[in-house]
Amino acid sequence: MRVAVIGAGVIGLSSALCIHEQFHSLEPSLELEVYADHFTPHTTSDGAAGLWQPYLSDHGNLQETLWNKETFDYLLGHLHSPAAKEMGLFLISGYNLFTEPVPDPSWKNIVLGFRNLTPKELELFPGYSYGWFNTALMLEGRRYLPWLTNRLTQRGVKFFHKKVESFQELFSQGVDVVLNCSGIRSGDLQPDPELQPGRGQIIKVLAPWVKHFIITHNLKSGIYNSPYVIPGSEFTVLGGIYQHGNWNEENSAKDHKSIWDGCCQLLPALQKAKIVGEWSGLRPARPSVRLERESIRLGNLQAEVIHNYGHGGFGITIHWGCAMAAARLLGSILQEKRQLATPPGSRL
Amino acid sequence: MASPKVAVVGAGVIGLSTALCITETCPSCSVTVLSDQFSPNTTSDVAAGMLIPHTYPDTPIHRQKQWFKETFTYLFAISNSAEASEAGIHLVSGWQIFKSTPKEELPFWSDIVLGFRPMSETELQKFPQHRFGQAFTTLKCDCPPYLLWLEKRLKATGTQMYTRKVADLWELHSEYDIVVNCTGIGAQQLVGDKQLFPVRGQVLKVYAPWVKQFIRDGDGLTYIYPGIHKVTLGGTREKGIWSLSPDAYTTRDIFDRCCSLEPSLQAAQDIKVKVGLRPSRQCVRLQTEVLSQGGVKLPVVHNYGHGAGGFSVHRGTAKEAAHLVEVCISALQGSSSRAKL
Repeated sequence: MRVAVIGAGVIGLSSALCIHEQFHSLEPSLELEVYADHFTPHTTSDGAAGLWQPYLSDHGNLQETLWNKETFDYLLGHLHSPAAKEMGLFLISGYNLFTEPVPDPSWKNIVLGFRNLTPKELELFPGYSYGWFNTALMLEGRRYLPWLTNRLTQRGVKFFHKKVESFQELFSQGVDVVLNCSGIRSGDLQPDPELQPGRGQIIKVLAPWVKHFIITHNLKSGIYNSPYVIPGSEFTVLGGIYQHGNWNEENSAKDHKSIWDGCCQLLPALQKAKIVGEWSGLRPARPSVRLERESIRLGNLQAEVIHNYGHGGFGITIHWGCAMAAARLLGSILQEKRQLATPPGSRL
Repeated sequence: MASPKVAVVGAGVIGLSTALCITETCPSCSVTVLSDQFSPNTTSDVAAGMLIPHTYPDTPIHRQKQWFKETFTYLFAISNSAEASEAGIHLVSGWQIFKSTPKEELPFWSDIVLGFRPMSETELQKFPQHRFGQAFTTLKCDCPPYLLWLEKRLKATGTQMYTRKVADLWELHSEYDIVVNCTGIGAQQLVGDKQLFPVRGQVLKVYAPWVKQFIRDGDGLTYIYPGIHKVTLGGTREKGIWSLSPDAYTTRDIFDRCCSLEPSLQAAQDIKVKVGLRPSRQCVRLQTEVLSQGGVKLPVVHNYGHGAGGFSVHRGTAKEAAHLVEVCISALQGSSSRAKL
């Protein structure tokens, strides 16, 4: 039973690990392969700061809220394990800032210690009159992806550095199930007008005195289009760009200025911070995550694709819940194949 | 007295902040800082500099609260300014946890720090041996940066600083009009204060940049305080012990205790061990004493004995000391004008 995962970002690698953990002993013939044209540190996941935080509203998508919760609980459980530092996992507290009162988010009871900001705390952020404080988790892509890669390699999962041009290409090589975790480039494998880039740009600085994340919100300009500061273990990420439909992966000087001015206004001491890098990436945005099976007819064979893409700016936040759901879909595929393989009559 | 000459003895956080307050309240004063040690070799440099007050048994609570509030407000403004990183002042959030519920669930400073609240059940699950906890956000003064920043501010006012071991305060009477004694643990020998005693503290300074939250056991013995570049792991409270030599067994013990609260510290690097002697006293000695020999008077303002709480109350006590200096100056000017009659 050959299962091929397309994509080696957080979604591809975590889905692969989840599947191997769940099925390798149940399905001895399971052969798991990962195909990607980009590996860490060159994936979209590597550019993300790594803060666990869903969008402000789940738009009634309860399924995604549950996947977010599963991910948070899973990571929280790993916090005290010896692997935590290697995974790039640690606790972090911080602020979400608004210019007007807003309803509490769907994730208020998932994170730790969620509360409104006190007037004295708001004094720190002139121009913002309302906000939240909570303790959440950081999962740094630049550490998590190598960690996942090591776990997969130890388990005998094979990696192939190539750009897969079509699902057929893999099926014709004898792959039984394809897991499509190709993120923003899923459209190259199967057109999906709902999948659009949410372009982001970030500046990496050295500001080790910053110990909190600070995310501002401008309800008119939309999510992540307002300054944010997220301290990591090696550098601090300054951001605040979300451009829907923009495929340009080059850094923009205009966006640089917007990020720099916005963040320095938020934290004046950042003016003294040393810039150590800049990066642009395309969030794989979609009205909802595409996580479903698709049966593809190839001649007289039925091939199975499990789609797991379109996680926008919350891929790290939702990854494990989606990996588990993808594993469940594979489970039902395996179940069906076993039933087909069992000759009729032997069930009497 | 056109330009009173004030000598501040001691260049830890108390000496430097007191000197700075004096230049603020008395711009006509000529202030000189004298100390046998400057940063990075003061007791203050060993401390993590966390703004979590120590309670002095013999000082009225309202006075301690006032000192803490003044200090917090002063540092809060710096942390919010462009100078924050240079001054080494930053906000940090975290938890104070208790193995058994403390008598006082709401300490006197709970409304001064930010966002003080009890920890939730889920948060406490991280600490199976602890049953109660408090979450809040406070400030941290990293040393050496904070002391160096104070020195820079002092130099800008024209304050001179000299390395000098003062053996006896009286030796300063011919050069200075007023002496301010901020010698910390040194006061024991300098002024023979038998109420002052060391409480030895050993700490580890480690590189663990993924630790962004503080954790403190309410017993004050085990703590994890993330600073700008290093995390301070503590500690010990050894009453009456004068040794400044690190103890290897203690190092192992501190590391183990901290790792049990934060297992990821096992991966900490570049571990350095430091020892400081908290200048402890039942109450901070913040008062004027007039030394007198052969008809010559030397007013001394004492400001020492801050024990484990130096950073938490430094600005508040510095301002009070500066006020006492002002009173001394008025008294001197009064008597000198009388002498002119």
